[in-house]
Amino acid sequence: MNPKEPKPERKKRNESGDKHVFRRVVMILAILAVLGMAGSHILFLVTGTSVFSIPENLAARVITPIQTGFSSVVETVVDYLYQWKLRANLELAYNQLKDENERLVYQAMLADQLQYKLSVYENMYDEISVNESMNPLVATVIEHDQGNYFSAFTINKGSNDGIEDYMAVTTEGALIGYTYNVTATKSSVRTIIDSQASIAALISSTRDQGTVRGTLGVDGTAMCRMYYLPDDHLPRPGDTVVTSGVGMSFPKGIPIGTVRESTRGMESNKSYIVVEPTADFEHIEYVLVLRYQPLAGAVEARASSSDSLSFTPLDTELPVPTIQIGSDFYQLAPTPVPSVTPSSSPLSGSDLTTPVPSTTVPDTASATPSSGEYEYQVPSGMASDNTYGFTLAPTASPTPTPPPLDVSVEEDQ
Amino acid sequence: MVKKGLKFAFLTLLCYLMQSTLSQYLSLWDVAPNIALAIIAVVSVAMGRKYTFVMSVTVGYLLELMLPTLPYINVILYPVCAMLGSLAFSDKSELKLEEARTLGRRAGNLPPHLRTMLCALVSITVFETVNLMYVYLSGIQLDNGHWSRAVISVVYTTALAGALQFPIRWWLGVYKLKKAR
Repeated sequence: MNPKEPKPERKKRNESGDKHVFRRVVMILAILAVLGMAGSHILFLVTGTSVFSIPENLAARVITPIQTGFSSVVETVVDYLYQWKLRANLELAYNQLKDENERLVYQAMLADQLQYKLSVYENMYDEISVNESMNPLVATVIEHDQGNYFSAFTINKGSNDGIEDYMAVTTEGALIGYTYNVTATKSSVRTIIDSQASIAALISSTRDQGTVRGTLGVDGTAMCRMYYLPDDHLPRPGDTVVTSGVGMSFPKGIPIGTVRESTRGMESNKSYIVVEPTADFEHIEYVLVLRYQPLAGAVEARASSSDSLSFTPLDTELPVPTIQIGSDFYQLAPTPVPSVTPSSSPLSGSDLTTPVPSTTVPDTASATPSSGEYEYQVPSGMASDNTYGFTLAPTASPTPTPPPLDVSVEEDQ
Repeated sequence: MVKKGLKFAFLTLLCYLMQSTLSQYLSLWDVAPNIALAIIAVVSVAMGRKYTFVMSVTVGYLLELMLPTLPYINVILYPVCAMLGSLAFSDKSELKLEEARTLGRRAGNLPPHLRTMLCALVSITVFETVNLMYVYLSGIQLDNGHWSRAVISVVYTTALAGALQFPIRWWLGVYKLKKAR
């Protein structure tokens, strides 16, 4: 005899069996639904019948909004993660960009510096090419002494490079100053705006010459004044002032500046005009020293031959009397009685010729004839007959002094 | 029962949505993983073959419906791939285990986490193989690019299944069931 099971356990088993059946039914229905939808899709693809597309349309209507929302959520999340990733890398990227920016800025500065140097060198090269005959030398300014009263600087070239005192220093074709206090390795340059600088100059348009001096120590301005100009010309504003080549061994024609105004000023009874320098004295980095020696060979040759100088008079043409002695030209004047010079022997006709001095004019100290051999040019017709009545005494002067003419009048018989 | 069914339905929908919207953002070397097969592999080990079949057919159908790249390919290939993996690596039934014990063979299952990855490996391998065959039959010569992309996809999907199985199994309550046993 089987013991009877209690009612609650039997009830539980029944409920469990029902759940199991229900679970199976649901699962089978789900599988059938899924398979049915998939099959209908395949049938729609095969047959093209629109009836089979009804489940697809229903599923698409349900899925589309869900997928749209989910897609937006995903994109939002992805964007947030992307932004988060960017923020995480932001500092790194910022530092990298900052370093790159600094590097590029440095390279840009270096490029600008090199470009400036290149332009300076190009200008220097052009200037050297133009002034090649003046033996130019490029020098770098290594020290500035731009005070309130003096303007000078130091360059890195000295006597080892052939620099001497008072050589012209230019930049960009304009005169800056001249060298002084030259040592073996460096030189000082006094600028033209320094009050102690004094340079011979001329105005290129009128060729009026004067002296240019700086005004830095006079009124504190970086200008020049040109003194000793003639009063008969009035310089025009803008006229170029160049070196005249007088005094220091400067080449002639180096631009100094331009006439600022034609109005003349007065300083210690000296009139002057204001000259505005062409060179930029505020930004001098490289200069050109013109190692110019004016006609050095000729000067040396002249200096070596100066001890044996001797006076050599030039040949002069002998004067020829244009009047005949004893002619009627002097008949109005009383003719004194000639003193007959006794002669040891009567002179022949040929002896009455005018002595001709030698072609070489004797020195003034020895101009007095000692030999008495003078020749006088007389007309040949007159030389034969002795109509002179006197004997010409030799004189130092090549032009004989005519004797007084006989103006006595004979009485009629 | 209802709760499990709702979780399954939600997981199925989530599987489709992630495959259709999220996989493109998870590209590695321009190769997107197959999230759907990875999740289906997790479901295969965690819930069984019937759920695997329903899920794979549903996801394949929805993909076929919403992303009709190739006709029939998704609606057929997803269930086939998923079921192949599931047949090999899902939990064996007690009947099968008892039969194996009777015959004196080693009866038992591999660790579920390992089986999940192996299931995903089989599924994605079949999937990529079919795709490459389709490409080849279309007249395109296969080169190293195809093979490398296929290998990356297989490895990436397998690794993704290994990573996703922990939260999914936890959410499905598999770890609670194991603890109760």
